[in-house]
Parts: sequence; C-alpha cells; structure tokens
Amino acid sequence: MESVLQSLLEVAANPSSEVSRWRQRTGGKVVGWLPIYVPEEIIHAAGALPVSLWGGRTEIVRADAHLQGFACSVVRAVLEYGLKGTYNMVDGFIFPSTCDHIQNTSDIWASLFPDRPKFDLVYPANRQSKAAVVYLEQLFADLEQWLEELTGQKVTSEKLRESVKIYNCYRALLADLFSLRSRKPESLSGPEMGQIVKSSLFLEKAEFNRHLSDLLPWLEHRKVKPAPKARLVLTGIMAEPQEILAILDELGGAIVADDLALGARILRAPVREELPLPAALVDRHLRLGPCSTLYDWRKGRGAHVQHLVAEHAADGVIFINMKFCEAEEFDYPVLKAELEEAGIPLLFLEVEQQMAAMGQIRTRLQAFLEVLGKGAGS
Amino acid sequence: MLKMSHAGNYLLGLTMLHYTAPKQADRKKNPVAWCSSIVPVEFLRALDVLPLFPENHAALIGARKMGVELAEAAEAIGYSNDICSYARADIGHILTGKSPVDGLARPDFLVCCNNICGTVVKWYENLAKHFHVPLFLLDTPFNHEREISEHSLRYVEGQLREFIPWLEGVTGKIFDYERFQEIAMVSNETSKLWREVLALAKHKPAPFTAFDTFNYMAPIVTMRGTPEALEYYRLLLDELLQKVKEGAAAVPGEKYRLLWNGIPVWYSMRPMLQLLAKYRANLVCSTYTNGWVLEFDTDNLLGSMARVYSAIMINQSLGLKLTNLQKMLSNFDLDGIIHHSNRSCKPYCFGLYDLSRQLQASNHAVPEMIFDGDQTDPRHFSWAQFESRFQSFIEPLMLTQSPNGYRRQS
Ligand code: SF4
Ligand code: SF4
Repeated sequence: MESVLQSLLEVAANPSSEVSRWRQRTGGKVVGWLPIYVPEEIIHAAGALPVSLWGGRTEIVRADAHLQGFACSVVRAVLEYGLKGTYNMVDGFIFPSTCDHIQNTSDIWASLFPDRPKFDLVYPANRQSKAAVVYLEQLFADLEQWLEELTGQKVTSEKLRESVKIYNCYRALLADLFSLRSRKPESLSGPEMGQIVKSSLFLEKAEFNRHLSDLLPWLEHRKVKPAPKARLVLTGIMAEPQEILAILDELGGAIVADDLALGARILRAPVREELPLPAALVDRHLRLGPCSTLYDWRKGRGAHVQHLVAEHAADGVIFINMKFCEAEEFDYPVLKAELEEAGIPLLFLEVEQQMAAMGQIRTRLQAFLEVLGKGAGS
Repeated sequence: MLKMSHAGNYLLGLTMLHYTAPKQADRKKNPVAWCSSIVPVEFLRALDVLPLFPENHAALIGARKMGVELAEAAEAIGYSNDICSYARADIGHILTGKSPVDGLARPDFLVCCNNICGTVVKWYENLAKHFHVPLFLLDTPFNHEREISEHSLRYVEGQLREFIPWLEGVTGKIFDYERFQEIAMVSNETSKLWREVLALAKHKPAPFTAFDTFNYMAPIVTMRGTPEALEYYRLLLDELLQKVKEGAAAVPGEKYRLLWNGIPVWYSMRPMLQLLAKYRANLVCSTYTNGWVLEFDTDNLLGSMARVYSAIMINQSLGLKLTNLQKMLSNFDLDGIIHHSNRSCKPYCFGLYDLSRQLQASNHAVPEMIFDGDQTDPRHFSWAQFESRFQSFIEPLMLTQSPNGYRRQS
C-alpha cells in the first residue's frame, strides 16, 4: 500500500510526466482547464483526460511581458507555463469565467496561441435567474460539441452516464478521505493529504478511484504524526505553497476540514443520478457554493465556515489568501467580522504561488498556534 | 480658467440635486438604489427610484484628494489594498461618514451589472450584507468573440424581464411600461447628444479636452433618463458648437491629438493637463467616456437594451477592443495613445500590453505610452514616472511631426 500512496504523491509532484504517459499509452487527447468549476464528466465522456491548470511554482520570466504584476500568481504562472512549453502535451484549453483575471488572460492566451483549441466557459453569474438554466444548457451543449470535434469521439448518453458514476464515486471517496482527516488526523501528513487531492486532478478518475479505495482501509490504521495540538479549518483558493502544510505538521496543527477551491469546493454537490443528462450537470452547477467566485448575495461563506468549525470540533480558522484574488479579498472582511462575533480565532495568511521565503509564514503560524494553545479567543 | 459657462453652472446645480434629493426623499414615493456605473437605470426612473452611483461618488472622492484617507479606513477593517480603490474609498465613506458631498443617502436596495467588471459583484454582495437590503444582479456574460452570441443576449433579456417584477416587489409599485418607454426615449436622446458632444473633438483644434469630458460626463452617468440631463447636454452642445464656430482651441496651438485609454487619474488631472498643454498636446478623446453612449432601438426595447448593456467595451474581447481603438484613431485623426495601466481596474488593463503590440503591428500604429497608476489611490501612482514616460513618448512625435499641419496615418 505504501507504494500506491507513493505513486499518487509522485503524480502530484510531477504531473506532466504522468499526463504525457497517459497520452502516449492511450493516444487520447488531454484537455486542460483553469480554475475553478468545470464539468469534467463531459470531458471524460469524450474520451479525453481532464487535467487542472492551476498554476504552480515557477519563476515568472516570460509572462511579465503580457500581464501586469498585480495579476494573481495563478494566471501569471499559467501564462508562464504556456509560454515555456510546459503545456505542450495539452491539446485543448478551457477557460471558465471565474474572475476578471482568468477572463482577460483567456484573451491574452488567444492572441499568443491563436491555433491552440480553446473553449471559453462563460458561466451565468446570476444563477437565480430562470434564464440561466437555458443559457447553461446551451453552454454545456456547446462544450460537448467542442470536445467532440477535438477528440473525434461522440459523447453518447451512455458514456456520459458512466462518467457521471465515476465522478460521483470519486467525490464520495474524497469525502471518505476528508472524514478520515477529521477523525484520524495522524494518518496522513499535511503535504500527503494535499498531494493526494492534487494527484486526482491529473489522473484518469476511474484509475484514481481504484487507488484511493485500496488506500483508504490501510490509512485507517496508519499513524505518521502525533495527535494534533490544534484542529484547524483552512479556507481559501488553495493550500499552496505546500511548505505551509509541512510547517503546520511541525508545529502540531492539523487541517481537519477545508473550504478550499482546490479542495472541498470543487468536490461538493454530487450529480443527481436520478435526473436526465445533461440536465443533471446543469443542476449540479446551480447547486455549487458557497464560493467567493460564485455570486451569493447572502454571503453564505461565513455560516459555512462556522458550520465546519462546529462539525469538526476545530479550534480556529486559517484564511489563506492568494494575493490579488479580489473575490477572496472581498470575502475576508465579512468573514473576519462574523468569526470575531462568534469568538472563533482566525489567522490571515497571504501567499503567492511563486513565494520562496517561508520565514514569516512560519512565525505567524507559530504565534497563532500558541494563541490557540492558550485557549485565547474562545 | 474661463469664467463659469451657463452649462457649467447648470452642471453644478445638477450635481447638487443628484446628491441631495435622495437625502430628502420620501422613500415610499422615491426609493433610493445604489447602482454600479452602467446599469439600466431606465427601469428605475420609470418607478421614480432615485439611483446613486458609488463609483461616481468615489471619483469625486479621488478628485478631492480624499482617496487615501478613505481607502485606509476600509483597509483598517480588512479590505486589501489590492482591491479596486473605488470600492475601498466608498466603503471608507460608509465607515467614516466622510465625503465631498456629505455622503450618499442610505440605499433601499441595490442594482449591480457586471458589464464593467467582476469587482462590482463582490462589492455589492458586501453592501447587501452591510445594509441588509435586496440586491439585483444583471449578469452580462463576457464576450470573447467578435459578436455577442444570441443565447447570451436571450439570457440577458430574460433577466431584464425578471427585473421588472423584482423591482415591483422591492418598491411596492406597479411598473408602467409606457412610462418606461418614454424614459428610454429621453435616455436615448441624451445619449445621442452625448455622442455628438464627444464627436466635436474631431474638429481641429478640438474645442475641449478629454479632461473636460470627464466632468461633462457626470449627468449621463448619474441622471440618464431625466429631462434635466437632457437639457444639460442641449446647453452643452450649443455652447461647444459656438466654440467650434469661433475656432476656439482648448489647447492653444493644438499640435498633437491624443487618445486616453483608461479611467482618469482623478487626483492628477490638472497637472496632466498642464504638462500636455506645455507641449501643445491635447487629449481629444477617451475610450472611457464612450461607455455611456447607450442608444436603444425603441421598437424592441428589452432586446436592444440587453445588447447595448452587454456591449460595454470593457466586457468585450481584445479583438474588439483593438478594432475600437483603430476606429477612434482614424475618426479623430490621432497622433498617439496614453494607456493607463490601472492597478485598481484589472479588466480594463489586463491585456493592454498585447493590445498595444497588436496595434503596433497593424497599419494604425501610432506612438503609445503606458504608465502605472490608480484612479483614486495616489499611493499607486508616480508623477515622476508619468512625466518621464510622457516626455519619452512626445519627443519622438515632435521629431516626426511636420511643423504645421497634422500627421496623417495611412
Ligand atoms: S486565485 Fe482568484 S484571481 Fe486568481 S485565478 Fe483564482 S479566482 Fe481568479
Ligand atoms: S474594477 Fe474597474 S470597472 Fe470595476 S469598479 Fe473598479 S474601476 Fe470600475
């Protein structure tokens, strides 16, 4: 079992070699998608491998000529990878309308790579509107058609139903993994946990499901670290740079639940298999949230985070802020006021994907955990 | 400075009226709505709702150099300095009560349209939470293509249809479609005049500068659909036509005609004007002020409003932005472009570098300069950088320029 775990960690550490391997083995097309929400089921049903393009740690050299320094580090990294050829094994690109950063980067991308197939997944932001349903149905139909042209394969309803099953199983398995993380935080190190989730974004899901269902029973009895001194909820876009998770382990803090985009947010809301397809995928998109990038006049995130704190008996919350992500930055003051009122300790950590120096982050985490240790704030 | 013109006086009065009327309003008759800058106010006016525009207010905050103080007030409760300074300044005003116009009257509800950015969506979510009032989002999907798709337009039109009962619900009033049509006509007429005003800059020399239009624009933004705004643009157009007739030049000896691409740097307009004038350069037009030329087909109001409100330039593909720039370059016979790389306004300026590169590669190439700034927050603007970039931009122009007459682009 250790070797299964190791193989997942390797995929996460070096996704491009895994993706290239898949491409060679199957001769299939690779479809890369930017954050945050994409109906991967349709890509899967078209016989392509969906892979997430969520940036990463790379020095920004070429992208600066196209994007100002106040673009978030995710889109800067995506552009950098594109320009330096890291995405050469990606056959098609999906840019969702997640935020102004991605939306504008999509147009920059189009002018740099006019011949690389790209689909703009411009979602309806007003999901309350009845008109949004029709619009979204059309959008997914267009996506399906684009994928069929790219892969030369038909998305039959049978294939789509099969993919939906595989993805629902994937979400259920990750829910089990998340439950383990809360019940037995000792079973996985912080970075291991992060890497397993990340590996799932590059592996074909049926294959990933097999690995994870093998692993889960074994993990129940695994112990890699002492019982945590503090149980934490992590909210934000993603837990990167990953060193943060290692530092938390060292300091005795355990993430017992998350509200991360690259984490629990994309794994919520299983598709209702009793509904017809593709309407069921539309229905899922309409049920997603709360998320800083999905319009929500009720600002439901605060209640959700408080719910996570209660459900997982957490001692505090870390808001991990991807610098320049306005969607998140607008949520922060609201969440801060709500958590203060509820007496839940909160730490604001600002990160960029390219940051190297972790000294300040360590100091801040240490101070926060000390405060939690003293029971302050409760 | 010239003495205040008739239209100028009228504008001052209108601004006063715009900010004070909501404070004195009987909210049953005249509910107050806060709106993002390009929403279909015609619906609101039809129900006697008084709209207020936090962005316009924030621009005033910027112009009165109160931007830093108010932005810092928002930052003190956790708003990141990365967030658009309009939002920070305006939230700072809510927190401190400070404002150049004695503040905005409290809203009864909110209306937000994302045809300018995603920032306003987040900003209005927070306002709804803060004031505990209802919020309507009109979503106009971003257009990555040359044409806005039909299904996108149907979706926007569908939302406009839903907007009517929503408004009836929050105002407790009955929507009168005929009244709405009349208001749309007034709005149309006003937009037409605004377009004509802006077009006068085609005259050589131009009778005004784009800096002037940043003042002229207030009523088209805040009072579109009212007889007062219509009257203002009639007065203004008359005055400006008179100036054209007299051959008056906003910049004496106008020699270089430039385009402004971006939001104004509200707190630095005068020094910029003076610097440009020193070189006999005039900003004759801007991509910004065009945003409020909104003309509808009155025979198909909802359908055409869906299109017009979706088609705001900042909501369009880079390709359309390029075409727009090229058109303006030839229509106004321009010699160069000043681009504002604005730390606040991501959607306006991400893509600017490639836009400029594409323009240079096209047969519309003119000299361009890009400077780093922020519309309300001077902490992200450096006069020294602006000045030196402007000099390196204008000096080659001076070398290529024939001494009398205008350089023509092929
Ligand atoms: S981190 Fe925020 S700004 Fe950056 S791509 Fe993701 S949602 Fe957009
Ligand atoms: S981000 Fe730009 S368009 Fe949006 S409110 Fe700020 S200045 Fe206006």
